[in-house]
Amino acid sequence: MKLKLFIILLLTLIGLSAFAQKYTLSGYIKDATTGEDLIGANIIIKEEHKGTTTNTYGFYSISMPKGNYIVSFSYIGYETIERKLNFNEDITLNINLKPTAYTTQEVVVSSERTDKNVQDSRMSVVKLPVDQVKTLPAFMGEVDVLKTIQLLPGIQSAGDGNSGFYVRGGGPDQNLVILDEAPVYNASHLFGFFSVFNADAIKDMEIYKGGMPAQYGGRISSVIDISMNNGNMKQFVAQGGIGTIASRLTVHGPIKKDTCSFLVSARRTYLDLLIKPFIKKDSPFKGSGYYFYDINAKFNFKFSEKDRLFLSGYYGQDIFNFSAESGTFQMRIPWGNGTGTIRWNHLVNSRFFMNTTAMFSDYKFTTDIGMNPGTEDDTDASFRFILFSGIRDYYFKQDYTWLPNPQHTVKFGAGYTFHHFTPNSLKAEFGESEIDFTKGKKLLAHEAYLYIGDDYIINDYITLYGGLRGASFFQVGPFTRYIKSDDMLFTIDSISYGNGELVADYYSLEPRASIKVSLGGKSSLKASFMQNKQFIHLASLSASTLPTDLWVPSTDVVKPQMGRQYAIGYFRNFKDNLYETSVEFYYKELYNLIEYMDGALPGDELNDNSDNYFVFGNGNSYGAEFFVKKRTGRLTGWIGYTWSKTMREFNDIDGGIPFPAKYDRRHDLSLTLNYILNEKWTLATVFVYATGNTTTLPVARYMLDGEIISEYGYRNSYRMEPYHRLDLSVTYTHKKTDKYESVWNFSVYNVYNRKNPFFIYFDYTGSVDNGNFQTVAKQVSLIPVLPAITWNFKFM
Amino acid sequence: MKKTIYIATVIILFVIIWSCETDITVDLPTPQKKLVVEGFIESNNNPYVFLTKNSGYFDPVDSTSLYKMLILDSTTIPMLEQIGFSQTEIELFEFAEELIITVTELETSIIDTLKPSIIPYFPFFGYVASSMTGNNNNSYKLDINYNGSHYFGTTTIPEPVPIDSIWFTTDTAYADTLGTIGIRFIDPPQIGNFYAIHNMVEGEHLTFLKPYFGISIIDDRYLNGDTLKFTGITKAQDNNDFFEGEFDPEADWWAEGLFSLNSIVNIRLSTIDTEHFLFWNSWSRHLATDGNPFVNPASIMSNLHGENVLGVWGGYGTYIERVHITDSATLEILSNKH
Repeated sequence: MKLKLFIILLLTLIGLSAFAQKYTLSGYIKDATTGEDLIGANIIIKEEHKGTTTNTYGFYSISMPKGNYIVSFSYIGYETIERKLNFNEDITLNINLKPTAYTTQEVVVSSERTDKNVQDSRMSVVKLPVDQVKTLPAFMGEVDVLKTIQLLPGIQSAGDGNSGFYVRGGGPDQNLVILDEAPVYNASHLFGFFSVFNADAIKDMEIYKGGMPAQYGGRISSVIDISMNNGNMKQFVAQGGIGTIASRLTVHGPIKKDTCSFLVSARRTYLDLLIKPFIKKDSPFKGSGYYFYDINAKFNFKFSEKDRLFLSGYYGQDIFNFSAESGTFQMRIPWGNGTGTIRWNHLVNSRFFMNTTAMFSDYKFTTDIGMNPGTEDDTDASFRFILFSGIRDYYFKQDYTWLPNPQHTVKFGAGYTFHHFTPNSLKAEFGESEIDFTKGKKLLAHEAYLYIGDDYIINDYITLYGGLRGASFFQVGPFTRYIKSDDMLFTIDSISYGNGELVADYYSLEPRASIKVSLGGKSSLKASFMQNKQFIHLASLSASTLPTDLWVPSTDVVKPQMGRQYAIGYFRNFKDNLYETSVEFYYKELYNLIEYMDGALPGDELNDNSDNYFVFGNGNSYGAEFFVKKRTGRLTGWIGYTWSKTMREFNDIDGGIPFPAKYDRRHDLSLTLNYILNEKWTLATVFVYATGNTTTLPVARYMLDGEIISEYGYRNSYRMEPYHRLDLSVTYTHKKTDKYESVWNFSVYNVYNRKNPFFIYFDYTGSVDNGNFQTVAKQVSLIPVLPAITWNFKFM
Repeated sequence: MKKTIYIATVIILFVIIWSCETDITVDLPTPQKKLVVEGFIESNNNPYVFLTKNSGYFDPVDSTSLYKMLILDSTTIPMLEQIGFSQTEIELFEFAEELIITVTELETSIIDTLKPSIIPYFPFFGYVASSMTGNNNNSYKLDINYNGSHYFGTTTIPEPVPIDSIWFTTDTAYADTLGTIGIRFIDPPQIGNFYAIHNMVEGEHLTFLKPYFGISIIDDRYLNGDTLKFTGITKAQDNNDFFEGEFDPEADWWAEGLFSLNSIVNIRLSTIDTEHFLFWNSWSRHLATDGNPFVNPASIMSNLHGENVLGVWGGYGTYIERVHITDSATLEILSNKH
């Protein structure tokens, strides 16, 4: 009886506080000169120690009991605005913040909540406005957002030549990369030298290594949420750069001032044109070429005080082509992504924000090979084959943010995706006849989810986040499952599913939680937990990420991958938030990981499913991440060090003995420094050090039928040399006026020409009979010291 | 997917034009000693086994070290002297304390012991049965007792399939003096028939060997029960070349693999069982992927049992067609044997 009374009392108290008369201050915060929404700007009710931040669309909302308050609006790099406001009714207040003037002194520290990293309940998240990224040395003169995130602890590249990145031991398919809410399947151009993101079109990036809130899902290890610029609402701007390897141009401006704007951004490399004259005439590579291009476009329309519409799109292609001198053989390999998004923001009321998104994403990899011997009497010998694989998604979602009072920010929503996969589709022409294997190879699936989460500021010391996401995945027909014999040689049976018939269904309940406890001073302790399932996977045949890797859905044979991550961290700022430091520990469990069967070369067979060749296993990863960042001043930068261990265990590989993941990296160190010398000159440097990648090497050899056979050791039992590299860059601001900016950037990648290993192979010299037959190990490295010059311009 | 690997390799090679290569030293762990068995039994022929061991990856490879890979027992010493090894060389070889090799025909329980023997072709030394010969549609068990360990394997000799027709196609690039051979045969109706092709040119080869280029094993998965056509069979490769000379970039390698007019060729079509097929299939996949850094290496499937054993014990149901390639590039069938 006493317990019941207590509960009723408690609920009433909570209810009372929740429903006490509150008034809401809401609006949008923008850049005064361009009209761009500012993401993550701070709104602070000074004496009350309460505050909030703007969302991805620049919208904020804060509810307070009746009274007079001083409210400050701030964002790093901008002048703070303070207003004295009387909360006796709901107020709509849009704020335009002015960028601080560029000075030679230390950047004026604004009175914003610079201890956000300590106070925020979220952990394992990094926010990276693009302006910060632009100050770092650029690889080949090109600022690259994905390369920059790999300088943060816990996020690793796999070295030169690998396009994937790995977050806390998770595979390259476990990162959700979204551009204006649209998922991007292949976020890198060839070999990971450049990402598909043109920094001129990007505004902001938020990276979650753990503690993923419930609105994100579908990938286990991380979320890289990238927002594009909307386009200057006030004036036309043309900006870009001309560099030694690539050039880019972005044009944006208003169609109707302060109402409607557009942005178009394009970039192309001309690697092929530069290299062509250097390829020797008799080289087999004569006639080959490679280039890539990206186009981003956005259209932004504010059609009422409560409604905004955004249309964005991305299209990019890598094209590798080769044609033999004689013209008898041609090969063209284009691959790339296209995405299109329509978003509608609607302010239901000052405490309730809604966003509806419809989008389309298309990733394709095509190989087009043609051979034409050129003799008239032999047309029968000409052939052409087109091998195609791809994934197409249609995605619809609705997200709501409800801010009932400053203590709670509730987010909830739902989404649906229709996936259309074509793992390997072949069309071939032999002389006059044509064979089409494209039908029956597609895989279709429906994915749907719901989520709800709440950021609850319990008091000045404790903030809690709790969220729950429920997801489901249905593989549907038309589909045929071919059942193989035990030796995998024969198809002994097949099961056919009709249009829309259910083949497999999977469900997921994903709790997400995190807590922050302030420890007084400028320090806090945070902990988080997340559980995720992933319904689509990257099947990689090679130990390297290549565009030939296939995206495949979960099926009747392939279960969803699952991950659970626990993290705990200590965060502390020093010298009035000048130095940000943190140490985080994480432990991650992974289930239902996919590898190809030993010796598998799937896709040869007509009546087969590529997932018949998969084997499944588990893995885990744990580590410690240390981070120190100097935020402001003449010298800024950070140093991050990660110690981690990532292992895998598959019954079908090495008989179940645990083996390290290819990118298992014991030590990973990144240092970046940026120094403002004076008004004109800025210097920057990056240094990275990482334990070498693992690889599988032969340990012995023997003879079989007169051939020398290599006997391989345990999977990934050999570790290559460590990777380390120093980059330097100098930026010279030639001219900077209201109308025109001209900035030169000189950068050198891999300053001391370190030969970082890409792969190891063995070469044979001599002859057996002469007694000088030798096996030599050779290491191939990719990028030597590479200087680059880029001229960046801006016309306004 | 083979095409995908080819594409991937070409892309990689493209990048390699502006990459660097350095010689490095690689510290490999000491390998586990393993026994390598290559044992075969053919229709109407004595079964034979070659036994070798594996060696370290960086161990020198010269003619002496190849012989050091052979598994020998002390009874072989007189044979080694006969081949031409000196006393000092013989003292360097390792001799097995215990080596007993037997083959049992399971249907009749007949056992025969394999004895060391000098063989006229590479590797010039093996263990051969003296009395037992392979009979079609029978199964055979190989047992090896080597230094206290026991290894065994079982194989069958499936019913041979006759060559239905055979012809010669000249290669116009060589003024019609060189060419390839084609054969046609009828695959039995049940699924699961596997074949291997070998050939031997009289006066040039000492035994049946695989064709120089192209595939040498076939299966009936897509054309079961049909007439199978196998064209473009090239002349067998002679391993002695590998051991006798360096790779000669000037040589016309394509011509080396073609049959010439006026030669007498034995074409052997053999039937093999599933496990034997899986061995050769994985062997050729291994050779295709070995050294490719972008594909996980394929291991070779062995049908042998025991600890630390590699290799195969395979049966061949053989059908041999002996033909003479005439001046007019037609084939004159001299005889057939099965």
